[in-house]
Amino acid sequence: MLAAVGLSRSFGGRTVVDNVSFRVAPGEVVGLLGPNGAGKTTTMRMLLGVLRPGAGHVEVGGPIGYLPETFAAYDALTVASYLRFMARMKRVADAGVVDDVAARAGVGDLLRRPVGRLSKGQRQRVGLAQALLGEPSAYVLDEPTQGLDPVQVVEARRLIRALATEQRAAVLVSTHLLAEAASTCDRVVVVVQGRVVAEEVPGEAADLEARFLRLVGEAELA
Amino acid sequence: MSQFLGYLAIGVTAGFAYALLALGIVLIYKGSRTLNFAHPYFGLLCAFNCWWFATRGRLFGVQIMPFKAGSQPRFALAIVLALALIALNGYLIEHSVIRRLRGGPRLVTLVATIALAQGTLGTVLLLFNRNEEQANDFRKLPVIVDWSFSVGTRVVTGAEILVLVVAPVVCVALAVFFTRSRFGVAIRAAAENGEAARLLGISADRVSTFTWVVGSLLAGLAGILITGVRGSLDISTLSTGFLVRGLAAALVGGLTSLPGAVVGGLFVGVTESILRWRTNDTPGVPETLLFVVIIGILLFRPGGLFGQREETEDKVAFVPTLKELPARLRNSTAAKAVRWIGPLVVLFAIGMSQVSGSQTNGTFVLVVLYGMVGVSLTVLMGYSGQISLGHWGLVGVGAFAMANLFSRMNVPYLLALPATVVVGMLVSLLIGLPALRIRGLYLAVATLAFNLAAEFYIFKSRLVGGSTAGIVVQRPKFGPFDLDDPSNRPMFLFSLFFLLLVMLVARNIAGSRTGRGFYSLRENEKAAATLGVALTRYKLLAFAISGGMAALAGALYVTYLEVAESTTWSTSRSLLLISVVMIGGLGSTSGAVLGAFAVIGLPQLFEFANDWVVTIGTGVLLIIVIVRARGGLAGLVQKGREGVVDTLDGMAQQSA
Repeated sequence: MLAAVGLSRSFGGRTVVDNVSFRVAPGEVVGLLGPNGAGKTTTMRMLLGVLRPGAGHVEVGGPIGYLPETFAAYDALTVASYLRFMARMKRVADAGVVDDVAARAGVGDLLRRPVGRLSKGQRQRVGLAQALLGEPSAYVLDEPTQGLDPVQVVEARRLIRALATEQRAAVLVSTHLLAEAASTCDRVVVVVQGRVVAEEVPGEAADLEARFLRLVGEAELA
Repeated sequence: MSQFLGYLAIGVTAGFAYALLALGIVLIYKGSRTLNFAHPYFGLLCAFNCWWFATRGRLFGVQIMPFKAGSQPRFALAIVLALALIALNGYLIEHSVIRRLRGGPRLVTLVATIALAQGTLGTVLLLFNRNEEQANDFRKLPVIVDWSFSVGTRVVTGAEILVLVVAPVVCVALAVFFTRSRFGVAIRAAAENGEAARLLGISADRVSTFTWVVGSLLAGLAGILITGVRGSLDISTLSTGFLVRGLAAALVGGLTSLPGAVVGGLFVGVTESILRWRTNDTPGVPETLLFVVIIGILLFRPGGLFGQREETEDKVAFVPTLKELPARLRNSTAAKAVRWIGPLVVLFAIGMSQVSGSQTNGTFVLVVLYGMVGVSLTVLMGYSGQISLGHWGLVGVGAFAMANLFSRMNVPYLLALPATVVVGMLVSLLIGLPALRIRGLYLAVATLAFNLAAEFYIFKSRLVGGSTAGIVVQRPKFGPFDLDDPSNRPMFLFSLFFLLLVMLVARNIAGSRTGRGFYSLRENEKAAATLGVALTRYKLLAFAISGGMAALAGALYVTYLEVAESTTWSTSRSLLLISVVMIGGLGSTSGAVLGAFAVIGLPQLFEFANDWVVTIGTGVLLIIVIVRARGGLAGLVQKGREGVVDTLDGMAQQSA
């Protein structure tokens, strides 16, 4: 279980997150949808306990598996030693766990590669493998399919859905792509400028995209 | 009213930016008969170079630029340097590629510019988007004009004022040059009548070089100005959206008229903006407008509003004829043995899929489906000579047809599959109808615009795209054969079956009366018509068959992806498909699959850490294929086969 209750936070007088509340039940994937700079990452950091909320509180059922947008690792470490290091940090018994999470995240054949020589998609999957360590009951994934190619996106989405359906975990996924949210999430929470502006079931929100674009105020000219 | 004035102001600014792009496109077309698809990418490269000179400027740890980073004098110098570089780039491209292709079919040069687009984009990726740090860079050009004023409800920014000042000055300068100077008049003469101009001693080489240099300069200038207006710079700042807008503006002016390009640019910019105002910024409306404008102009005023229509003799006659084995070898034992290579490759792939994991099998699925699209494009381009730069859009039509039938209307999967093929055939026929009047380069532009409209409007509309956030597709299960199997193995086998089926159909067509009809269309339409070939029927048939195959691939692809969403069907993929079939060897079905393996499969299997490798590689390979080896990979295989059979046969005869 994962819940934000009236979370607020400001940096230097600027309110970044403003009274945000939502709840992620076990077995459910919820998308945190919003443009860049909407306060998604700050909300996630408060859920993780990395950042103290200015107001409100979080409710968490246990340890959380976290995939940061960019993770810090010594570039010279191999994938295997990085995962082993993370396993020790999380106090997870090592035997076979590293191989297991690596295989599930699709980096089983990269274990001996230095982290610094991975592509963006590969790095992302290593981050995902690290989040799986210790079978947490809740996950917070920041832009999990960013930088992945189509095959990897399919794999990652299946993995995320399996976390909810098979492991009965509560999964929170942040994204700035609407279609992304629609294909993975049971529910989306739309955040703009730190405020929750909508909560929808993606398949039922008919003109969500038009509304979303208008809210975001983005001029579309690709 | 004040709102209207605001939108009008945006429209005029955008219009001038499009006009600059269109001027470059028209100029290059006049001077070298080449429709330059790499044009916006030249602008992108120039903007990136300019940004680097203005704010970074460190080469091997040494600061090569004077003045403070981001300061005005530094920026001025940066603009000059970036423009000089892009002009040099245009000069080199004209000398090394375009000049060699002059006199050949114009569609070949068109494909060459697609390769240049890939190469230029790859260069940008290599120089400025190589690693995470670079990708996350927030790039901004320094500000030149620091004041603004408001029109109605809208503020016109400094960057927009700059466009409104610079673009008209450039237009006037060009007008003076082309009407007052000797060389300017000479260029117009050469464009009007190349033969007569040559007799008068005007060098076609000089004219071609000059237009490429000036055209590149215009693209570069447009790139810098557009970056200013858009605020920040990344790899998507200028891409296919601006390409189609520039082309539409150029077409409105009739492709050869410079004043027409300016009017065209303003027309597109202003109508787009006013439509945005009327539709309350509904996404996709501008893209649809572009498609309608392009089709309308091509059908009803083919010469544009200014020029004369160019009667083109275009055909895809650059399709290589793959030779059969010489008669004396055809029935040798060695030749018979070589024939088993195909089935062996299929068996090997099936074997591989049994031992590979879900990632590798996913890649196999991708190769098979891109191969299927390649075969579909082979029927259209390779057999019947009709070019399509919007084929990925057609694949998308199949995907959305399947998603709607299967997920929304609950039609059984195995019934939805043939229904999807029928939908694909019908939509493709609709696209083929204008092709009865539009040919060659014009058809290329029209199909490209179709893809753009599909990507931004049709696939997002409520009717087709469902909730506008995409339609989720659950992979079906047939008894024990479960497409949803996590290993992706059944998905691969299922797709492979249909690929083989499609290849079989294509080959049968090639050998039939219909196939010969297609070939006659490709080689010489007029001669074919004289001999009583029903052009209309064969053209439409080619579109229908090709569309059905593309839709089938789309239906399977969406089953694999499990979601139909508009962003998958990006227009730039259509250009990549041309690389797939050309590198594979246009006109050969197994070549199409080889191309898919080389262009799509290999990069995935080896997971190159950087996308620039693939982008530049594809561009370079495509150029090599066009300039040196038209047969592509299939041609190479053919040559190799002949060599092997010849040697084996020689050995067999010696021992006998």
